[in-house]
Amino acid sequence: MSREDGCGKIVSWARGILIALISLAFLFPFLCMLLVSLRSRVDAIQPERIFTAPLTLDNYRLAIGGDLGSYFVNSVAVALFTTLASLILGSLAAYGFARYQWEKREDRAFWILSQKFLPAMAVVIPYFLMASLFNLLDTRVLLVICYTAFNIPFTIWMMRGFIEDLPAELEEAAFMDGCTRLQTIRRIVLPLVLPGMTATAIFCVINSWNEFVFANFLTSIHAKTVPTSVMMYLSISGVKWGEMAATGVLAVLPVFAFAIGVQKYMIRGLTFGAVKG
Amino acid sequence: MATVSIREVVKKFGDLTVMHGVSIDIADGEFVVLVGPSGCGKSTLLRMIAGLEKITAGTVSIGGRVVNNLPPKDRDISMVFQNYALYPHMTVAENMSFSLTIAGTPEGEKKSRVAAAAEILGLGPLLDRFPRQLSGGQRQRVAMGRSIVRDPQVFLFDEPLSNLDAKLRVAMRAEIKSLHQRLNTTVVYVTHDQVEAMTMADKIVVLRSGRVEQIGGPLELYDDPCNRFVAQFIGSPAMNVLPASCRDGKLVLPGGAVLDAAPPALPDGAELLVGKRPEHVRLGGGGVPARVKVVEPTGSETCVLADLSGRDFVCVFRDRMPVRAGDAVSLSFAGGATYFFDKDTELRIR
Repeated sequence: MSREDGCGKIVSWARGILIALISLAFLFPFLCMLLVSLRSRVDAIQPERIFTAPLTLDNYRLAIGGDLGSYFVNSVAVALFTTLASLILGSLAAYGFARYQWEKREDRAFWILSQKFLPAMAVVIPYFLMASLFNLLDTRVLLVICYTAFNIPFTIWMMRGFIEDLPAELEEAAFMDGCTRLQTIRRIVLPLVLPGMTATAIFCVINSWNEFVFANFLTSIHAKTVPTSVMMYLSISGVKWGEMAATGVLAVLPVFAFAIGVQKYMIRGLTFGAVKG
Repeated sequence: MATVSIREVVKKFGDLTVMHGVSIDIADGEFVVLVGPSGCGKSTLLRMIAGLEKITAGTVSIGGRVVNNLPPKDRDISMVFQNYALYPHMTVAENMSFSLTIAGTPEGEKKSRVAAAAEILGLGPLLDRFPRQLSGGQRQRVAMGRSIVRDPQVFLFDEPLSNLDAKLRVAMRAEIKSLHQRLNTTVVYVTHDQVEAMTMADKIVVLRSGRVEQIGGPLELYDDPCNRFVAQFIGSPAMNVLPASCRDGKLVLPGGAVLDAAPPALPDGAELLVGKRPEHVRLGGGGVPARVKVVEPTGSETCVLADLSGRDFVCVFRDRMPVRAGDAVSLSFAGGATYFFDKDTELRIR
């Protein structure tokens, strides 16, 4: 083995160890949650027994046995419709920002982004009053409206970048080939920004899936989502750590599955980016 | 096939006027090249013909029909873009047939028209490939194929060869020209390369700063330029232009050297510009003294850069010249045409 080969192996090992350490740091909270979810109620509050105590699925049985199923349905429905609405409205707005020139365009783009600066807590009371006025409290529709309003600035900002990266000549070629503006968007722009849309969709899904403030304040029984279910495990008799952790693990799984499912579109996006118009 | 008529076309971007009342008539089946330096407005004019840019004033007519307010799809024209603009998510066949798909052409007819265009351009084996799997020249051919399939009234080309290497550019130049001869469709072609313009055009339109400087056949512009700009833009290397004055029936350079060329009919003491093409200069023969700065032999000819009265002066000789850098030579203006331009307006003095 030559000296260069030896150095190369050391560098490779060092890189591997570094990646493993960084991954561990990020995964540690999740691992803790997983371990707690697999322990009995007594063992879950004893950190010294967290690695050695016997495993049990009781927490999962209890968590699933409650109302968690309906919370999941609510979360899935709200995330799905929020993502769809955000992508459709946000992408069309992003197209406008990317392709049309008008006065103070950049100021307006920044104004839209600035909506993201607003903390949810600052608007939740006005939202509550408005929802009450329109008789929308404790409905999925209300959550979809709130989440879409909060997701759209981010969607516009992300999609604008992806659309601007497309050479304008591609659209002009489509116009020459006989397309209208809408046909051009559907047949040329959309397929080419699909990878970017996928990435944006993942963020939208994660944002709505994890949202807590609106869900907690604007729903009570019928439209409660998974993140609010942690409140069920807080009571005057104490915190049910095991069930809370089991719910947390179950809550992560759908987003994880979604990200894995759409990963291939993101990879396709990388190859598209490498192609010259 | 169709005529294209551009009448007093003006284009403004905000307060900035980039086209100042341009008028050009293009006959049926004519190959017209719009040429000029960067920023002269040639691509803007092409885009206005295409319908991709709004016309501020004036009219553009295709086949006798004013198309100012028609969208590109209703103008019956096709365009080949500088960066090809092939749809990366479609195969070559899909790219070529896209316009037919949009028009709702039956599948059988689509296939036969794509096959016919592929045959003309030698794209048969590439029909199932994606643009990323093609070389620059092949992409260029697909872009042309996409235009041919539509069978438009007018072909527009926007600097289609500028992304290709020198060798491929020469080959594609010949290909486009032979394609035009075969299809005999009206072509409007934009380039900043005057060699491309000279070799391909039936008619050249020289543009500068949004104005037409001269319109004419390639050799007409070369032999009979109307001003200094056209004289120096057409021809490679560019025409040499020297300041001179008329004294006692002779042309005298600022340093006092006398040119061996007959001056125009101007009063004694009049100042003017004298133009001489590099290939019309002869070595020796009692001409103006000069000193050789650089010799560039290309095999078929010798290009000599000389210092003539303190100015750079380029000569091209068909023979292999026995001169070296630093040699003192005399350059004769007696052979070939000598051009004279007004010192202020730079218009040709005939």
